[in-house]
Amino acid sequence: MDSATLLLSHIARDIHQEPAYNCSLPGQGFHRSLFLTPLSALLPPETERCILQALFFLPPSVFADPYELKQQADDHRLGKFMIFGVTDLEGPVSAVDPRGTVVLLNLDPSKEGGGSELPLHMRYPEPVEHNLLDMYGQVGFELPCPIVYWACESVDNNEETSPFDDLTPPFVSPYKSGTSFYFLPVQAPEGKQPGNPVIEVHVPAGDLSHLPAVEWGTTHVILLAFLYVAYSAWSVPPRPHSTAREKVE
Amino acid sequence: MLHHLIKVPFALILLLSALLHVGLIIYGDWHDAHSPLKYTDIDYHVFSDAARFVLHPEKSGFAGGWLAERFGLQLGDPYCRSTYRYTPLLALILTPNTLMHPAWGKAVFSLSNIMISLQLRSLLPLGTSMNFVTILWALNPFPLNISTRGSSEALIGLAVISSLYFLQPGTLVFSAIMLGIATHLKIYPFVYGVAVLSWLARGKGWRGWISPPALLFALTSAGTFFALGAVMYSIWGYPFLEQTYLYHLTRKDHRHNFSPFFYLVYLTHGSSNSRISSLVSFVPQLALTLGLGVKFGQRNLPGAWAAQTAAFVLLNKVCTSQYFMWYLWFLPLVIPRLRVSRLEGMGLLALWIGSQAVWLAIAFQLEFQGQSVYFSLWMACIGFVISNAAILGRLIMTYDWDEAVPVVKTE
Repeated sequence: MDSATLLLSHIARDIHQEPAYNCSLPGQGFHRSLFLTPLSALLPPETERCILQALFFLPPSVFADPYELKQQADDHRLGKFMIFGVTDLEGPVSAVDPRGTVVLLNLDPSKEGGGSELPLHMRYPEPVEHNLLDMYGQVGFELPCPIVYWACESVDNNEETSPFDDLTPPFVSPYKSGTSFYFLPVQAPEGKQPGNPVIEVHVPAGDLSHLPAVEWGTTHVILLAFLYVAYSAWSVPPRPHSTAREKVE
Repeated sequence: MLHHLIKVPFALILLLSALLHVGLIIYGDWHDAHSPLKYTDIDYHVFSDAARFVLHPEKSGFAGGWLAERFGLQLGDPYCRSTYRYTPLLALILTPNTLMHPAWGKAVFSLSNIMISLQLRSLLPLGTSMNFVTILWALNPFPLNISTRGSSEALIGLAVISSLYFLQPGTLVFSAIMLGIATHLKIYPFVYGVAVLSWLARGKGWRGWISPPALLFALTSAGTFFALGAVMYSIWGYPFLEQTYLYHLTRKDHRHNFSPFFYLVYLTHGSSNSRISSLVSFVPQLALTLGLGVKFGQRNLPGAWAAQTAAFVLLNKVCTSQYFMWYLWFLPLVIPRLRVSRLEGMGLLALWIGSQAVWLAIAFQLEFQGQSVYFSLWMACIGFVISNAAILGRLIMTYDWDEAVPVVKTE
């Protein structure tokens, strides 16, 4: 069971019925932002010792650029954040950790009502056989909606277990023991799967049925280009007989 | 056509160029502070971060080479910055970004542009209008933009053009050193060495290739390259070799770029097919690039180097618009010798621009609109290769390789 589902199964009984947030990934293409929009005003249980946070479980097909996030945090367009797992900015899906990465983000209830916009980038998905592509030439994967909660320092140091404790790496719970959590439900687009809100993401994928043509075409065109330029160079007549103005070394 | 433009003193042109560079650097800083879409190139942040890591080993880990460890050098690891795949020399040059001002690097690259302008003007054949330098380099928006955005290509340009500038009896050693530095920075300039040896051997047959000037040049440039490499290796160890050289020699770019290889790599990533394609492109690329150097180096060096660069970029497994800079700095020396009609010249230029425009339109559809256009984009790459091969072939055939006036330094 993936981490997001596992976490949600722990906290199911804590969640109030009304969704507090919408999550969405509008747009097309390989560079999109995950929007977390609050649906109502958020009142924390006890303001002073609580921070509002969101946890994003990113599958390997999506990643956040830590340098981009840092830039945005410096510009005050994003809260403080932590990324768990190794982010490879360049590799394809097949070359990265299949457990994906996790982003922990501080939200500011006084700004945009505690919403946020997390810039994300899609990797090229694994190329597939032609019949596995949808009619737009795309493949789909599930991006779990972020899990949003107030993390509050407890006055009394009771050894409560936190729902984050038995999640698997790369996420490692950064919370001190005794921290209590108040989860706010997040709603997926079109309110699908209320118990396990996910966004269905579609990205264009390479079509393996193209491979023979691409292999043939690339090798032949490169050879053709080579031959033509080589021929052009060969066809240039040799230099005329050297003149007396030739410089002597 | 460029002969007929107003005769403005070159010093004024240089001043204008310098002012434009400074203005754009200042504008870039203002723009970045006020807009989510940045003027500064991402690579500039990569270099700057790497430079900061060198100065702060407590953040990045200490340099791991044997010399650094033996003497406890307080130098950090630039490769802590992911995607920094360059020599530590670049990070060292940019350390004032942290110590003085973040725009230092852009100033260095801009200064390189200006110095290239000066050297190009010196290298122009006698009687050639300096407007070629003005239009094609000093006031050309492309290098102006590239350097003020913080891309480091101008440094390679400075090393390469300096090598050409010093290629005179008496300063041959400096020419060789600059070529060694250029190769240390980017690997590919080593192909120019073959053209230089051909030039030094002209009229002397095969013996010319082992004559004293040729040996001096070969040994000095190779020596410079290996000496720089040895120093970097002794301080930074294996990561230096891996990131600066091995990565570039074995890189497999599966994401879209101008080369048709992108789709082949994407579709075969991780399978053994990839090995075959390595050989298919590498051998013709090297053979053509070196062959052009041997045949044309003895006749006209700027033309030979430009042709070599264009051939190299044409057949490379990855190609981005940054690579065009690599032959842009030769244009002021090469364009005056092209014997094409204005119509054909315009046609070739339109083809060069058009093949990129088609590619860009389709790439936009893929990257930002999420349309499944991989195959169409691959076709645009094929079109790009065919267009550029046709253009290069045509230019080689119509270039005046033997203009009688030898290249001399003016003033």
